[in-house]
Amino acid sequence: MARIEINGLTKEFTGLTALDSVDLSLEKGQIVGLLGPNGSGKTTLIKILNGLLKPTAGTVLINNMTPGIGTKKAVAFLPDRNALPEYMTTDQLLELYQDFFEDFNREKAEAMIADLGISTSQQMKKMSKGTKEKLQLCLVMAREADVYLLDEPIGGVDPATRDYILRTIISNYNEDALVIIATHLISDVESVLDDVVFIKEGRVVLHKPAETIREETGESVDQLFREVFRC
Amino acid sequence: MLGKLLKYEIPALGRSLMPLYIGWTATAVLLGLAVGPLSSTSDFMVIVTGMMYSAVATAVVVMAVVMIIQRYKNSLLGDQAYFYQVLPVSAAEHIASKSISALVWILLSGVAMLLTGLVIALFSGELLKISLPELFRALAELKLSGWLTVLLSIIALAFSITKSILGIYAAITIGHQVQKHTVLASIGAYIGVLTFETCAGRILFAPISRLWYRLDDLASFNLIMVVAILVSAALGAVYFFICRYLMENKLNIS
Amino acid sequence: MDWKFRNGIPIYLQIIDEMTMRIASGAYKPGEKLPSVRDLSMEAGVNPNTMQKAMAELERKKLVFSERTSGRFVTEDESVLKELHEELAKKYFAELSEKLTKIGMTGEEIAEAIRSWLEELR
Repeated sequence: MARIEINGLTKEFTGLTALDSVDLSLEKGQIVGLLGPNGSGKTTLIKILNGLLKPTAGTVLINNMTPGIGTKKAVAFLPDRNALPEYMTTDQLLELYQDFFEDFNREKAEAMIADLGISTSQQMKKMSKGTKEKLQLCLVMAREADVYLLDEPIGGVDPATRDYILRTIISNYNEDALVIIATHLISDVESVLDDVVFIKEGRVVLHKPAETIREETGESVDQLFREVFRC
Repeated sequence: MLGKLLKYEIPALGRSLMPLYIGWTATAVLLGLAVGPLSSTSDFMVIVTGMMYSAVATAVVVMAVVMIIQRYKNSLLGDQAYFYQVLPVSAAEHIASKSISALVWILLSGVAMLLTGLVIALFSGELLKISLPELFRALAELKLSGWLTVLLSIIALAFSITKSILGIYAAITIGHQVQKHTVLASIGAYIGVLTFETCAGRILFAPISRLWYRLDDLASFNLIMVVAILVSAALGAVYFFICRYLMENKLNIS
Repeated sequence: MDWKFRNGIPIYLQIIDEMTMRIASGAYKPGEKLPSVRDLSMEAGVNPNTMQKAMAELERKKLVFSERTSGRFVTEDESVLKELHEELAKKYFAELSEKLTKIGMTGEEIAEAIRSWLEELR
């Protein structure tokens, strides 16, 4: 059984089909790029995986469970916006994560926070945008989860932070976890990916290992992406 | 998990309300002084401090209501849902934690009001004029049946408050089913909730309607309170299940 | 050490090339313990499975060997290293001669040019 198994997944909003019978099977031990331009259905898919949206039709199974409490215990989600209570300090947020997530490794989070020089006593709302993003990433990656769902983890961060984030994803790699990186900044992440999934207008148009793409086409994933999604 | 939610939920509301309580107490001190030791010259100080006191009192009520609505809306249906709704917690626990913390802070606001009253009495010197033996005699006269009535009234109040909170939550949750004009839809839903409540109340209270004319009779009053508790519990349960059903099956975070 | 990858070529092949160069040039000495796959992946900024695949290929070529508990080491087998040098030399000569032939030089002219260039160096 794959870690994530999606069959005939459809999501309709009034006057819009955001996902159109998507089939997708993702195995553990992989870092998968979920790639598509804005409005392709990426975010809708991520929300459904997190239980923030309910599908119109089709099924989603994570660890063989439909999204709910069971899957929320197993999925570490990094949203594309800051949703943490900003009045809390780093220390309070560490406690919050520890309270709610059994798989949270506090020592690991503290080590990452120290690495990045983030203050532990400062309120989150007083931090710079970049620091907030880094802190969020530390909290999410310090979970020992089965699935990491990272929505635009490198959107709008400086190159040094981007490198740190990518290195964190690599160093955190383990054979039992599935890491999904949803992004449209492909050239930055492509060397980190095992598999690549292209989403276009609510459909999966390609699902292949990145190395196979390079081998078969003689192009980078980024170049292929530009061709597939040419306006 | 409910306990853990409350650990964060109750302080979250308190952050906005505690400073107001402190301000409220401060205006109570001023009002007390203006009424008591400083009252000799003119009424001006009494009017000013009285207005300050009522302004803060209003602010507490408005703030409490706004915060209760905001907390629910933002953390379960708005932007912060990206954190709260991915916690491994059931919809029922989320709704319960919001309702309980809202009830706690409404009751605490009531207690704060009583305390500001005491503060006024204390600083104006009126408190010292109350004779303790007389007070105890008055309390003793309440007897067991009297205390039962007090207890029932408080429980009825708590149930009624919780029911009203859940009614607001239900309206907000229904409103969020609409993708555009969510606020308008929520207000519309709330009008629906109020209409439903009036009708349901009329039907459920009908069997004991004649008791309303005998409120001076403690037994009838107690009975009304019991029925009120049951009615609030029934309506509250309906609202709770509406919220839970929509959150479990129709959640739609944009 | 900096890693740079070119577009459109499988990354594991580029890692093999880079590691081969490092071994041939002595950046990794014979018998030296290599960093773990995780550390190498982090250093290169690549997927750990890709790095693992490249390492397996280097092992197959006998340039590195792994000991079950202690990690992965550069080969100490001189014949393998000698072969590697010869292979690389051949490859570079091939590239050089291809370019020079393209600009119209004959084999003898190339040999002569190399000889005089080496003398100049001295």
